[in-house]
Amino acid sequence: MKYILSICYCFLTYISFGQNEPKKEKCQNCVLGLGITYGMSFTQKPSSQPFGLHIYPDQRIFYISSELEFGIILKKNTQIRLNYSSKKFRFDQETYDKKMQKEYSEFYFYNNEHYGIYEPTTDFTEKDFEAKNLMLKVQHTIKKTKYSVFPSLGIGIEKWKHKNYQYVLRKPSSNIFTTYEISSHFKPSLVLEPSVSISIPKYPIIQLELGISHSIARLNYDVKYKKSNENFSSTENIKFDKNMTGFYVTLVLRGELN
Amino acid sequence: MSRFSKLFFCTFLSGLLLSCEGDYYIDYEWVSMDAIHGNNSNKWPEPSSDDSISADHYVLILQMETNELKREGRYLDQESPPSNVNGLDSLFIYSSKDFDSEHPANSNLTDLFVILNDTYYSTLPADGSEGYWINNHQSPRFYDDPNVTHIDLMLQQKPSLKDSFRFYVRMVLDDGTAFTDSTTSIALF
Repeated sequence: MKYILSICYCFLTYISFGQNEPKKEKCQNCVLGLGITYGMSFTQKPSSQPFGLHIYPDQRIFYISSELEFGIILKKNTQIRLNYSSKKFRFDQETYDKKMQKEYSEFYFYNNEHYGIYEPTTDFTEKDFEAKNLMLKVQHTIKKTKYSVFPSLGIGIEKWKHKNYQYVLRKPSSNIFTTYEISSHFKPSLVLEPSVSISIPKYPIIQLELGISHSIARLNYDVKYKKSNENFSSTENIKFDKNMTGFYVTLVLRGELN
Repeated sequence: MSRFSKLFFCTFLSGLLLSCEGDYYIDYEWVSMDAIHGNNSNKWPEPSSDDSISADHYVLILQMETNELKREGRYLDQESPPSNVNGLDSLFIYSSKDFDSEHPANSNLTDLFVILNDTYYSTLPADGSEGYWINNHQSPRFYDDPNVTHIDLMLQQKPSLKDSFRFYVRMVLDDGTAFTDSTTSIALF
């Protein structure tokens, strides 16, 4: 958050001072934007999958993302923008553990809180998910005397990255346990995103954007498992789709570069 | 860079540096060992005074008395766990009765046990084939008990006949110090 605030501060300074300087006409009709988004993503509950994969991640997840966009004004009231955002989803370990224990009620479930911290094979060090999103948005401008409204429609791609994780299941009546190690490889999925932004004439560069996004995440997991102290010898590949719908609100600093 | 930006940068850097120092450095050693029976029918192995336990979830627990030699720093951190200055070199477990056809009386039974390092993600064969790096650093109870005060040995195979067994344990440390103890007799079924 500190980084985002400092970037916003620099951006505001640039936009504010830039308006009083003589025009250099390097990129006329260009628009630059920076935003912070708070969103909520609902996923349609997928059918039951082996290894509890339908439980990971949770069904309802909040996220914060930072956005960078570059646009060109095509006509007086229409602009086209390329928008890049990186979403961070907080993993709710406690809820996940409870759901897994319920799913495998005849076993003891043991999570591995340290996987990713001690394992050099994974590049994650936190229990978060990431989604990188590249959108092409077309925006129309409707100017009123007291406010301006900017409806837009975006289409783009989103690529998910999940933390690799491990868990252990053991029957209470046995010293034999099974360790599962799950890794993911996701292809980019298509995202559709209608939204509307509003601003007031006094502060035209500050815009509040409300939107809905819909995508179908194509999930692809590799599951390795082993008994007790043996080495991993069995692997299964599981693929399934998950419909995801999200609502978000973004605070955008958006200004023309000329 | 404006005055505000410089101030912001310096404050952030100072906070970052202050938050990254002060991990504990603990040295300890084992001074004695007691061998007792344990039952793994709950989530974690527990000491048991029962006369009989199913071999499926029998655990031989070695209770280790520790002596802390050095403690520096301010915070416990799993990335720098306590160091045992005189670690385990070799382990022998035997019984006065035949366990199965491959393990007659007084033969070493360590290949029948797996060491549980207080988490199912850190286990070792008890026969030492993968060394004896025994520690608690991935344990969910690490912050309550950072030194290794018990070694849980999970039995992986049933005896060929239901019988009562008394286990004798001999533990040799890196400097040659040896601890020996035996359990009471227990019926494994």
